[in-house]
Amino acid sequence: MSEFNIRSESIDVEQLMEQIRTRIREKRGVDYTEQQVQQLAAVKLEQFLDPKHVRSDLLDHYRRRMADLPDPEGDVPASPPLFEFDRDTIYRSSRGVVGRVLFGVRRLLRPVLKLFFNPTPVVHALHTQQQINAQVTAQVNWMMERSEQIAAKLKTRAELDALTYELLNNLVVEMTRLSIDVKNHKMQVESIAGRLDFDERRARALESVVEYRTQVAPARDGDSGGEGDETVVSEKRKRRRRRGRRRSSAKTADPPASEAGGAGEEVVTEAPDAGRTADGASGAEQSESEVAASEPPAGPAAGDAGADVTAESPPEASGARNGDPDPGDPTSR
Amino acid sequence: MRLAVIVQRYGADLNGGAELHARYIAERLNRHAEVEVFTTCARDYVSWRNELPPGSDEVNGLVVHRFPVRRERDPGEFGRRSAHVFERVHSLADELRWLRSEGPTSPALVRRLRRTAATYDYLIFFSYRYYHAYHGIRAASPQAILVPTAERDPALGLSVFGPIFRGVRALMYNSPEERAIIQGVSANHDVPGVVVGVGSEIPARGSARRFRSRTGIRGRLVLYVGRIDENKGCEELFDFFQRYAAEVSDQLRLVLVGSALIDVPSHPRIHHLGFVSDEEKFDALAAADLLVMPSFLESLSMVTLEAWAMRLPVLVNGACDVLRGQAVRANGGLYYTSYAEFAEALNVIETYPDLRAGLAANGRAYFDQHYTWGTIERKYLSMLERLQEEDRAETARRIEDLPSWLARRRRDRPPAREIVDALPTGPVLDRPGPGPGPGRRAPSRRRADRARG
Repeated sequence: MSEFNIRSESIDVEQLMEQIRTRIREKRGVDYTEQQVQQLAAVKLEQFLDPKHVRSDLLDHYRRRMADLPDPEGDVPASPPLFEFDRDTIYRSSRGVVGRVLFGVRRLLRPVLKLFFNPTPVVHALHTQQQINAQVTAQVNWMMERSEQIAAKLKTRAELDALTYELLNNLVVEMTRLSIDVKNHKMQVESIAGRLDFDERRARALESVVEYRTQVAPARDGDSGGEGDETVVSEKRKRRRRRGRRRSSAKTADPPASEAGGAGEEVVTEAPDAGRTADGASGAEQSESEVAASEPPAGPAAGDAGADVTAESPPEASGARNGDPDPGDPTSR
Repeated sequence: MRLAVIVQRYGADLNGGAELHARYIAERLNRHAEVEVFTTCARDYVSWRNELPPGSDEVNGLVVHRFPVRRERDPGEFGRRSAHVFERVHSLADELRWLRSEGPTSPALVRRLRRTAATYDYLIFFSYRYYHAYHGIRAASPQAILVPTAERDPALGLSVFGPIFRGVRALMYNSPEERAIIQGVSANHDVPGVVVGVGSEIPARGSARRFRSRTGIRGRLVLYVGRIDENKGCEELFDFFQRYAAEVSDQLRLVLVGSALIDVPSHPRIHHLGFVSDEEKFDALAAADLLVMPSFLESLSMVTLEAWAMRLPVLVNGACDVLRGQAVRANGGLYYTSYAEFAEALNVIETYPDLRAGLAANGRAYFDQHYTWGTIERKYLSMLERLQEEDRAETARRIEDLPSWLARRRRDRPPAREIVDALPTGPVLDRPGPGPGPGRRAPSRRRADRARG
């Protein structure tokens, strides 16, 4: 992975973001933007769903269909009222009493009118037309009712379509994200498997070193006689003195909780993790293997030594953290 | 010079973005002119319920005239009308009905403005999208100055607002991105406008020690200040932060300051402090290592500016053009558009103290250059002088009339969301004049959907 390059005197956020994106690409293999996820979603549909007769442009199709749908709330012009027409209609008047007088006069003069033209076929035709109009109006009203029912159904359908579209869209996007996650997880599993393999090989190598030293030590004792014994004992004393000094220095270096604030508590509980991330293996593991290599594998001394070294690791980690500026002090920013 | 500031709500204890902005500007301009405030009796921006007495009042030395709201907002009706005008072809009358349903419907306020506008030199309206601004500007357009506080939301695409943006005497923008979308939607390039923003009352020094002793929160802090709401991106922030704590580093604590409209997850490293005083807020800023601003929609993030003033780097949501533009222009913070970017950016800021210090220093320099009160007052006063010169030259503009009764009912207006989605997106990086600048890009449907939440 590329090292992050920061020069505090000339920070350019866009350059930093580009570096961040590069790091993400290196970590994940590929960095997908939302647009790329959409494109991938379309490709997946094309590749896997077409054979099952599901269109890869389904989402576009839905959008187009939704846009093409007629507006169900459009206004329908009202039809005019039906006009009643019978043989006396053309002689009637709407002027109240005067109208009734006029109607009588017209009826009296009807024979005179018939001298000029015959109004009977006209009256008959208009009467028939009125009946036709009534029938058509009844049919139109029936169709209107039906169309309202259909419009209501269409409206429900449109709401369902919108939900279906959302659902489909979300499914496709989630499916694509999941496939990306699976790919990433595969890569992580491979990485962890590689590290595990490396750790196993390292452990085996360390074990072989331990066996070698424990075999060598008695032979050296035999060769050097009593003088050799003294050398080994003095070596052990030196080591114990060193451990004693380190233990006491660790105690003095470890700041009291009140000085370190709340961070002091966190350091004590979280330091073994810090040691693990810094070295790739825990300090305790390393110390145990070191002790096992230099001292007899069994007995109380080995156990004590392991416990001592494990207890020494946290102050180192806390010391490193205490070196950071105090987040509570604004002047440190 | 006599000025009037017109805003939907006003009070010393109201901390909404535009309302606080209006109060700060009114109080600052009061040092140079005689300022009066016109507002409603509402305190709640959702219902617009009349909670304060009508009549004249005094707040921090300013005369405040309050007018009753005729009817409270009906959320159901407002939702239906919003869906209609945002998503479907509609008429201008539909948009006016939407405006009435949004509120705060205070005809008394508008009548008073119409009657007394001539006694003021200029009237400064805040928040273009509300009833008081639309009708107030129509009543007093020759003296109207608008502080739009616009975000990239569908209301911006409504056709009723085009004449408003073109008809006011001047516009005081909060950011170059806001100016770009308003000019894109209304083509008001010839209206005088300046990117001003707003300053903040920064204390000489916040106390991290006081914050820690008061709250008992130790360790490194990532701070969020604002309403804890899904629209502010908090759901995404919770998700990202919990993943970050589980997968990358568990050394940081997320501290939330503000009232919660959604549930805050129960997590050992997430602390919700609720609504706090300004002093406590600045103490929190002093104690924090980083401010995070996850909002999708902002016209100007005052908290981001306050963080920079307190020498704090920021991590912002890159989906919000304004926030991203601010971060990039100031070189004072990083941004994210996905979890991977969030995790990597946060990890980098956490890991590199030099970077934190550099971003913080850049942010402070940007604040000093653009958002000190001296700069902001100077921009306002320059604009007022320019308008006075125009008045002397009698070159004042006139607002377009409303169409006829029949034309207002013609269903020929496209869905507002389509118009906003068609606007260019992205931050405006360095753009002295009108027109899309570098960094602007064609809009993406997916992005707009995401922004809608």
